[in-house]
Amino acid sequence: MVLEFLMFKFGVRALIGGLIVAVTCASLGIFIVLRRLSLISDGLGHVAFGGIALGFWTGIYPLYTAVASVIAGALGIHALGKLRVASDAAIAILFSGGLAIGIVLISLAQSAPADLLSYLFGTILGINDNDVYLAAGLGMIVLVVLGLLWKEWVAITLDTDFARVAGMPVTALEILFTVLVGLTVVVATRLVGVLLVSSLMIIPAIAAIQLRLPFRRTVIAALAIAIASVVIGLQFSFSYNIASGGAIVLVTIAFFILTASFARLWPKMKRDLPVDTWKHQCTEPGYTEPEEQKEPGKF
Amino acid sequence: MPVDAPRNRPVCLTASNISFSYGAEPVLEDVSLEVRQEEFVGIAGPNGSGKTTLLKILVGLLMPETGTVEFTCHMDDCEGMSPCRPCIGYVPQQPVLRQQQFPVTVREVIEMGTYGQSGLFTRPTPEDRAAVDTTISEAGLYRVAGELFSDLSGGQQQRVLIARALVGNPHILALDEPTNGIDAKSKQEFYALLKHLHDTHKITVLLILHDLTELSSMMERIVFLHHRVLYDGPAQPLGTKGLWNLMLQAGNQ
Repeated sequence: MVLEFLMFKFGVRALIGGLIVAVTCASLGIFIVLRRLSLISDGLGHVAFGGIALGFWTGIYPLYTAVASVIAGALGIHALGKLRVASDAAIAILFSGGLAIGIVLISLAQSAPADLLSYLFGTILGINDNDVYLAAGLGMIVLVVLGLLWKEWVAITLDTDFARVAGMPVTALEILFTVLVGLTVVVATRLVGVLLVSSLMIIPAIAAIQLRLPFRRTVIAALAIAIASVVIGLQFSFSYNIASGGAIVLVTIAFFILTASFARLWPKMKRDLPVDTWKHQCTEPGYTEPEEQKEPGKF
Repeated sequence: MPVDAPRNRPVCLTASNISFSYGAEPVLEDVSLEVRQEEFVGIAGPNGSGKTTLLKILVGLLMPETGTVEFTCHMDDCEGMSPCRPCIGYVPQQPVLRQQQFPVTVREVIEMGTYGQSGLFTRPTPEDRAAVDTTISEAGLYRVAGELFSDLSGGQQQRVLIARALVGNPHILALDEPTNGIDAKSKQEFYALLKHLHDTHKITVLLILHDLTELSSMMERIVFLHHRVLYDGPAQPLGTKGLWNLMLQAGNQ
């Protein structure tokens, strides 16, 4: 039976949590990929791991310490940028630093807590109501900030210099963006784990970009792919008793293969169809072609 | 050297005693410049002479180590702002947009030009969209408005970037080597478009260009830079030969 996991409370929680993470990750993912910062979520994921270990060591709820650590990590990336460290190198330093802190703190605790593994690989089917509330709260914050400053993120992503000349506070917005990525990483960590968190952000975005659609439609396509991946991945996980995080990520990769193949085959198929069918039309909303067309270049 | 440009036009931009260096290497030393409304100014000089740095300082992308940039374009909505954001339309040398294949249409790129004036936490208004439509139509881009920016030729892409810079009705258009990497025919169309904009919209143009022949024939005034201002005056008496002499002079320094 399709979606039979919804008959169980844990299945409903998994779906709600998964959808929150899918929407948040895919919305941010487009900007991350286009800004060539694909490793940032991995870097912040490892910083979150250090924060989670700190939580276990101090007895504080690990996701709270993870939130604090990713915010510190986001500020750290920009501080390293000020020291003229390249962004990929800054992310590499955080990547290693977060993991090293986590390992040191675990060794101080003598034995690794059993629950720590669930943060490494994620346990979407094992999340409790608190995890869902935290995901919903943080996800809502991320989506509201993302929505309120949408045109600013678009401008900074497409042309940072132009955004600066237009008077946008680019540096402050870049720091805020990294913090949003960090918060999303924390939300997603509980569900798909530190090791797979970046794939949920990056792969749906890359798959959507293959379709070569206008920007708004690319974002919608990424959201659709991420949501479909969570639903299909959970179904596979339940039906075949396999790890949910891994199943979801494998479905995103399948979507990438599909869209990448489609993008390469479509122009060929288009060429073979009658020309009239593909007569050019401007499909942008609100645009009407002028009755009298001027010569190009005549203002 | 005295500037022979029409003295009756009001000054819209004054750069005073600008100095800037990258590390220990001085790029600009005590550069002063006064731009009057509706002037067509070409900024020339050899590679590494500080042209792009000067333009970036003028549009507010870089802060000078010493000196000031003052806008006096007398617009109500930019009083006290330096640089005066609504006054500037900027076309960068190699925008990331031209280097990467972004999933973004021509219309979406031009719409970016309205973002600066609306402020944070706002969405494009119907007026903004109407301005975008008008600019698309005026720039002769209606056929490609729904196409991806990355699918256009170099010349068409530059036309889109100019349209983006113009959609906010700026007083000053600053362009950094806009014809780099585009073919000769597109270059000529591009220069014709610029000239047309300058003549009909009465817009002030600041243009960095390597092409000395175009500089001498098209510009009203030329500022020749080699870390300092070597020449600032009308283009006519200088000509291509004069510009070559300045190039040689800069090379010998």
